[in-house]
Amino acid sequence: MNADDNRGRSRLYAKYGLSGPAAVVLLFFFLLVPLLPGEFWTIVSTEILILGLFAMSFNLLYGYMGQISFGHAAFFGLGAYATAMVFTRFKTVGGEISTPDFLLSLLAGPPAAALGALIVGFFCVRLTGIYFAMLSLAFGELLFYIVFSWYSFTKGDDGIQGLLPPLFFQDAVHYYYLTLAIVIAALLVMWRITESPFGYIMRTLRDNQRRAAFLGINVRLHMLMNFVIAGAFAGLAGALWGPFSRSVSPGLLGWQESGIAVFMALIGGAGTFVGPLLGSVIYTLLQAVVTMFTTYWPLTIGTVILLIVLFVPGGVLGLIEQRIKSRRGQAANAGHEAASGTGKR
Amino acid sequence: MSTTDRKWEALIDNLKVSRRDFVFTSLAAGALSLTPRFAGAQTAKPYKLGVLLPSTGTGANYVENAIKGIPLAVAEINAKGGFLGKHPIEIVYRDDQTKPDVGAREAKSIILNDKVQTIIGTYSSAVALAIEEITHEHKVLHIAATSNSSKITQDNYSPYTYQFCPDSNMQSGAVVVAVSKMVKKNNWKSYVSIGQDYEWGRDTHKGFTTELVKAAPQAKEIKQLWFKLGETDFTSYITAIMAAKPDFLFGAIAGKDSETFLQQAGQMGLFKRVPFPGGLISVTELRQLRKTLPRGIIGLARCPFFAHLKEPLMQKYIKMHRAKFGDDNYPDDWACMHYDAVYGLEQAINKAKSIETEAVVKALKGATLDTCRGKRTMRDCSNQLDVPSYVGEVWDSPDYPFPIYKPDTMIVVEGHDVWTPKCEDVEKLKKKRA
Repeated sequence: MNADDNRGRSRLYAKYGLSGPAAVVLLFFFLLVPLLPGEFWTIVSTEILILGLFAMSFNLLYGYMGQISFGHAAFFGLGAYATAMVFTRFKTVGGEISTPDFLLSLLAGPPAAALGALIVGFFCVRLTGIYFAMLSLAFGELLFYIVFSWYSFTKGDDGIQGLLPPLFFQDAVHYYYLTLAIVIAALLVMWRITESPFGYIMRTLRDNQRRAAFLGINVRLHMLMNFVIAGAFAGLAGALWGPFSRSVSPGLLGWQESGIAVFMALIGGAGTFVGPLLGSVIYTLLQAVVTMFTTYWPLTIGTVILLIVLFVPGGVLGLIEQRIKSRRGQAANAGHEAASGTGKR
Repeated sequence: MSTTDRKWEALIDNLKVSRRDFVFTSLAAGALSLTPRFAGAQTAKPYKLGVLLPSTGTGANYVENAIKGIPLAVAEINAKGGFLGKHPIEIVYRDDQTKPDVGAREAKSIILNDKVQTIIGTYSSAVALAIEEITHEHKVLHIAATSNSSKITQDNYSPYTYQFCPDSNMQSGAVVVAVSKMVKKNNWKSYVSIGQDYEWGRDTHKGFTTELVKAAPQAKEIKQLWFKLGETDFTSYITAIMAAKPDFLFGAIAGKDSETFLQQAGQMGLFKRVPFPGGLISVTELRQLRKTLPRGIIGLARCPFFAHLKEPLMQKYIKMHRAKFGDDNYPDDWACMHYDAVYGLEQAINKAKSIETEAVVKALKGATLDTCRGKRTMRDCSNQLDVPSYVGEVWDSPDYPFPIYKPDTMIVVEGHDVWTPKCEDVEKLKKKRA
């Protein structure tokens, strides 16, 4: 291996962990996607980005705070519905929406989701582990049923249709770049948060809550703050989803949607910052390709998850990280063993 | 028998043993290889027909026969060389999982990748509404064969969407018509209502009671019972109904709850004491619940084969379906409506003399089609096919291994008698599309 070639990459790795090089590689591909022939792959990539943002917001709870939520889609759905409702309100009699109004409607998503997360989080952060997971699931389903049943307000199980963005953004490539810009901005903010003292408090809470409490950290307050932040980012992803899919439906708040975020985090690597985004790349691409050939998608993804959990518990990025560390460990002949999942982010 | 036919036979034989999804993908792949029988006929561009139906999720049980049946109809048309004798049909099937966002995604995928010109489907109305947004945007013909929210053709009207089943307004209107006839005939005076306690249940109940007051004022509601969605124990409700001793029971119950309610009420003998008109009992239930379904209960169907035995097309479907899937396997409502969709598309293409979507869409507008339910015309203002709803008493027939509706109790309510609202109000409902 030529050391000179690797110096740049190594520096990136040294500073940002595996997430650095991974983000650069992903960004490179994401920028080039619209060059692929046909609209379809651009549309798939838009979905990858939106669900990737959703999965990364989930990972703020799971990977950083160490709590698993099975109700995270509730905030994705709340964001989607808030945007859909504002969008519908802004539409002219002719069924059109102006670009400023459209962008404004996207802004409705995160606060609505954050508010929902504040209420749900107030109760959830009182618990940890399986109890946290169950309570988040219960609240998620509760919100799902409210949206599902409240016909006069949410249009019930039919959902809301007609979310056609302005002419310029109807073009798949334009919507893609809009999504890419928003997702990159969101990820930069998220990165800043996870690398701030607050982000390190999260890691402390994950590793040892009792010790954090002894250090004088207000455990519940910090957990709640993180819960709200994660909810807001999920809401942003949801906001982008409605106009992308042209409709929203209550299923977006349901536990199956929450499961998607969990799957993506597990596949990509919950121990890294970029892992869930890579998980979204794998999950969404696989789904787009597999459903072209077979209707056995649930079986396929089930098998993938099974293999990941059994053989690559750290996810794809976790595996690579482990390899790099063990190789370096050998090269330097140092005694330190590769610790999985707790390395640099 | 030509080689092609034998290949086809082999594929169809597979149907009996293998899972339906495998079948469909193999058929989708195989459909193109079914070269036309007429050696001389020139083959032009194939016609890509998208099919979005759930093979997983809540609707899967209902549409299984539709999923199996569509390739049969397609094979028959392909044997003549395809649409217009020269465009062999290629089926592109995707599982919509009864989820709107999956349906929308798959619709995009088959429109952009496979270039389908028509999408037939789907079971759930929510999925149909999501797909309608995509087909409208991409100017692809969308035939809703079983999903029946009136929103599909009214509020969310799209010139590219056509409805081949009675919509929700027509079905609940049919129940009112049928019940008021029964009220007069049996001199019923009192009834109890039971419904799912949420918007749909409340709406359906309100629609029924306001209409019934007009149609049969002598029938008085003596009790209302509301249960939460997903109720698993109906005992207290059933005893309350029995205690009230009504002349009949009205229910606004759909989906899984309906199944649970029917089962528990049947076991407790409710239907022996109180007639219960209006629950959805299609040929699927009649066949699958043949042992447990309480006899004498009054069901609502969308397209039961036994109501149209004299129609040549229905005779053809029954023969075709039984020949391929076994003597016991009569086409159910869902299969019939999908057969009508495929042959309706063929007729529109013949009328347009072209497979170009704009021409076909134009040909379907106000068209009169030959269907298994007789000659039926598209309603001009909403592209809703004028098809009847069927209400009748479940009864053991000597002719079939499963119960059907008793012929002398069956009330066929014509679509144009109950489709609401009026065309001018439909125009007001239609949301403008950008």
